[in-house]
Amino acid sequence: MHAAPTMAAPLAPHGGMVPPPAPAPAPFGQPGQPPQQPQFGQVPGQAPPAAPYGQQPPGPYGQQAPAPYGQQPPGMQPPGTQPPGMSQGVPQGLPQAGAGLQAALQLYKETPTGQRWTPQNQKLMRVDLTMGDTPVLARQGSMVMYQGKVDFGYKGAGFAGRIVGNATGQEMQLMRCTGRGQIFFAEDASHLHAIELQGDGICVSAENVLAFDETLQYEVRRIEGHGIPGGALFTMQFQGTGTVVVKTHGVPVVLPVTPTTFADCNAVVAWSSASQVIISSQVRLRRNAYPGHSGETVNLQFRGAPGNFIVVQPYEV
Amino acid sequence: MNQQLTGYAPTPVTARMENHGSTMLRVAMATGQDLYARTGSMVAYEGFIQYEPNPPAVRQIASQWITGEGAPIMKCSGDGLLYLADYGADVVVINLNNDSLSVNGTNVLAFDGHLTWGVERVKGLAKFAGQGLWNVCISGTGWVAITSRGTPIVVDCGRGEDETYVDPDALVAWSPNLKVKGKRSFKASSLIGRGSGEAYQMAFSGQGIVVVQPSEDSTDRLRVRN
Repeated sequence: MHAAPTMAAPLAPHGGMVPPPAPAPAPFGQPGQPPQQPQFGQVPGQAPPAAPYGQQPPGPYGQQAPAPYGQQPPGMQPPGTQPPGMSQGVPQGLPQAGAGLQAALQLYKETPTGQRWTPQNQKLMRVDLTMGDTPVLARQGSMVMYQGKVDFGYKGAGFAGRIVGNATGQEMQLMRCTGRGQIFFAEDASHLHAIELQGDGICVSAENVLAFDETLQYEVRRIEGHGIPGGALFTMQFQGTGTVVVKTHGVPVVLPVTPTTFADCNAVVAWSSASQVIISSQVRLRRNAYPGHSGETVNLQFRGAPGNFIVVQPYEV
Repeated sequence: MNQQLTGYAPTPVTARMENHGSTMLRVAMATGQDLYARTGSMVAYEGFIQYEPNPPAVRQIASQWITGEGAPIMKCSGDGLLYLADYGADVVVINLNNDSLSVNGTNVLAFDGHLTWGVERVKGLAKFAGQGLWNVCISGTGWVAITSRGTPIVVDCGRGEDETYVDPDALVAWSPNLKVKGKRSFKASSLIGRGSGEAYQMAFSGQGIVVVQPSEDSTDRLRVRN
């Protein structure tokens, strides 16, 4: 992992005439460290910032020895791969996968599995309605593609459901997908996560629900507390046996619930419903006396047995 | 200060078109190897490259492209390295080997000038798709780069006996030999506020592939913002 010379070490000048570089002067207080020691600002365990795209360890400012534009050193160009109609000058190397349309798109092929819910990639979820006989409820308009005979119907929340949904903001515009076939769901290139429930429950903010099995029961739950705009916070709680697909803006963080787990109520997406939610607010008198405050005064605190988790997205709605 | 940024320096050139990261395309340009690219997609270049918007050849080939004010394609020529991007959309580089591909007009980023190409209107439900589905059909042997909002998926149509239905907003590209039809799943219940949000799809049948993006945002950002 740390095979590449760290950027902080003095870089040997190009040319290769120099003996191997002496170990970098150790930072203060760390005598005898090897020069591969990660420097400040670099998280241990991550790859060093050099070469994230598989490039050679760069020289100063990452520039290669200046070559004429687009020209490879002789010998790098595989002979005989020149397509007709091309002149010399541009390297005509082929992608690793080989030439052709099929090879270029092999990376993005559909991957069928025997599962009902299959994430095709981070942003696409495939459901196979032929596995299991229950229909799927999904956010309206979230289907991007389907194969087979699938019918999309309106799923109303019912009279009471609409009243509750309107009052709490936790309403979902749903459609019911029935039939036999495979449906692909996606929305706005947000990240999708299939959470399988086996008799347990999860609380998800309604706007982060993309699809779920119709076998699940769901209801609006209220979190009381002072300091929340509107007086209370509402979430959608799913219970039963089935799968919920939760979407997040960006790569989320899943935190285990410990005695000190806090989250911003605008960024938290979901939590296991066995954990207890408390509003924690920093009350400071000074906030009223001086202008400007951090904006992070009201938080949600989570308490629960080990094994509970919360999901937080890097995006505050 | 530059130490943290050195990792993003360009890699050695090994091919005509390469990804730099997942959302940027790098094209090695040389004299005599022209490139057609979306107007406004250039983010940087090194060397001596000239851009010609709406060259006469394009105007002739894309004469059917009557949406907006002409074909949003420019001809790039010269020597150097050209960097293209489309507002953070994923870039997929394809090396055509005597293949052909029909790409949604907004999802074309660049293609080699010597490829055979033409603009065609998608038959069937172009009127329903809102923006009118104009496609660039590219064939031959050479390089093509297409964009996709999020990692795309490629589905083989010939696998099942059923047709493949795609939301027109999420469609990126398909094999031109597929049969395309419009399919309306519009019901009278939509008129009274009980629609499913899926009013029409495009149905594909035959042997070939369909490329779909995980987003139904098909706005043409290069055209909207420039």
